Amino acid sequence: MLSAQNVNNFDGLARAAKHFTLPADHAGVSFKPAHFDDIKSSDHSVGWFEVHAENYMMDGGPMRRQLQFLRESYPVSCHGVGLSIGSHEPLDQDHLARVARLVEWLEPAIFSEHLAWSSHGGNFFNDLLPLPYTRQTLERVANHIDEIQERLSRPILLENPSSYVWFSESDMTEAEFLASVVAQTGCALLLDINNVYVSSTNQGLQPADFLDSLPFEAVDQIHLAGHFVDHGPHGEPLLIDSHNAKVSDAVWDLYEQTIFQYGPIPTLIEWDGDLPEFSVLAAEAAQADRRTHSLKPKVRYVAG
Amino acid sequence: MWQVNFAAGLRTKASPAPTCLQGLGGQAVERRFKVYRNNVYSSLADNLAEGYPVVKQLVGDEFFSGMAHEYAKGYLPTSPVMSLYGEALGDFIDDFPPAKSAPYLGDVARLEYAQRLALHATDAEILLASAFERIPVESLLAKGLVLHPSVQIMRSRFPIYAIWVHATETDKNSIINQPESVLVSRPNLKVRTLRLPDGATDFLSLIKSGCSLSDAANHALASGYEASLDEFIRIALTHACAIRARTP
Repeated sequence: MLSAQNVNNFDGLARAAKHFTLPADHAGVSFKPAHFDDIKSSDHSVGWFEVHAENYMMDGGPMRRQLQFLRESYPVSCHGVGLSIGSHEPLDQDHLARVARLVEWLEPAIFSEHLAWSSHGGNFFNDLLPLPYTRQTLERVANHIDEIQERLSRPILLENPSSYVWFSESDMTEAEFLASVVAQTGCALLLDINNVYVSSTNQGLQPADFLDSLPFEAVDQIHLAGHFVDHGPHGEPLLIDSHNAKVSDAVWDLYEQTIFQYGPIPTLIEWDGDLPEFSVLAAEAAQADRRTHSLKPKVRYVAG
Repeated sequence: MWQVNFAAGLRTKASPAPTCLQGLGGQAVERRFKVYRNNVYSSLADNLAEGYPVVKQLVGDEFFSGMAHEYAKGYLPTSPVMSLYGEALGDFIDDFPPAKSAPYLGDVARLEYAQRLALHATDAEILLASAFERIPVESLLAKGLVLHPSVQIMRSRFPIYAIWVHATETDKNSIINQPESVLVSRPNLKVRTLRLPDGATDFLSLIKSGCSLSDAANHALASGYEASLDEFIRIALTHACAIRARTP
């Protein structure tokens, strides 16, 4: 006979399991503290939230309390911006320990970081900076990811960056580099489709070529965001990954093509600057849901 | 080498884009490298503006932005934990010639940083005054108090509390030019900023550093602060956010 105790345990397990998986058919949004009250009363209009790991490394206080509410109510993905995986220098052990402590407490469905560097010579530049794609940098990045995965006892997701410059010494494409990292480390990928569009346009390449050469079976999450259109000194387009606007039509088109080809993948709307009302972010997430549902795509198993 | 060159190029506005970059010709590479340099310093200036809203309000957006860019150039973050970036802004302002006409500004910055530290400090349960009532006065006086981790005491040569209240409250108070001390704490989820009465600053600083209540009170009495023992105990319990008593 099923006792009340058992039912409670089962509920607890079901709740826990839910939080270890990001839904592929209900998009999430970046969590911003300014939206907290709206989120509390929004009745799950978005599927999940992503938080920047470095914003929650304080000892206590209201921000940690908000994060606690989120993790009890929604699946959460934790997105690092400070491990400087692409750096030539060794990983900052103090920072890796902070990330490990946060991940252990938060138990996010996913921990992701960037193919980029942000620290050098004891300074943190607060930006995601580019690296050359060579055998040497590949070895360095793979070693860093091995170290992080071992420390966190879980595979991480690596995000493709948005780029404005390229290095003469690069001897492989970004997609080739990412595929090699996946093969060597067993990590998964966070595909930022806006970054693909921004980087490809800035380099005069076709976004579809990048997407075609990516190992898609490793893509466990998608990012969508808005960008700003500027121009270089010769009138050439220069797209800035500004995260302060709605997703562009071109990026939505690439998203639809991707979902049509590969099936639903947990999707996040990123918005960091010129923050609008929460309802605007929720509407962007609903737009992703509509596009995913209307495509009747292949069923795809997505590991949490 | 690529990273050394890239980082060096970010540090100074005068330096050209690293030569290891490829692009659509020199001008275009410069323009594109500038996107990174701009991202770095604008994001740091934005972070400071968020962390120092009262300083920003006192000097205006344009002045603050210029000052923040100067600070960021000299003090890049040393950790990716940006919630604590900008610790030295108060000291920087003290030596920043364009801010010379507002000599109190450095203290306002230090107050705002203390409030930020309090916001993010470790959580702890405050003892209610009633919990102390159970301890006999003699025994209590011999004890010290462990204060909440958020508690900070700040002395200023300027009316720092009045300036802060004037900037943050809609009902404008008048500012009397006199030294003021404040106690910053976060007994629950909200940061609390209190002006300390004369003499209480020494008394509470001593309590914070581990003195017993009687030693701290005697010191305050010896330095000319007139109050009864009851008043000292009341100040300790209402202002200091004690989390437990301890034997010094």
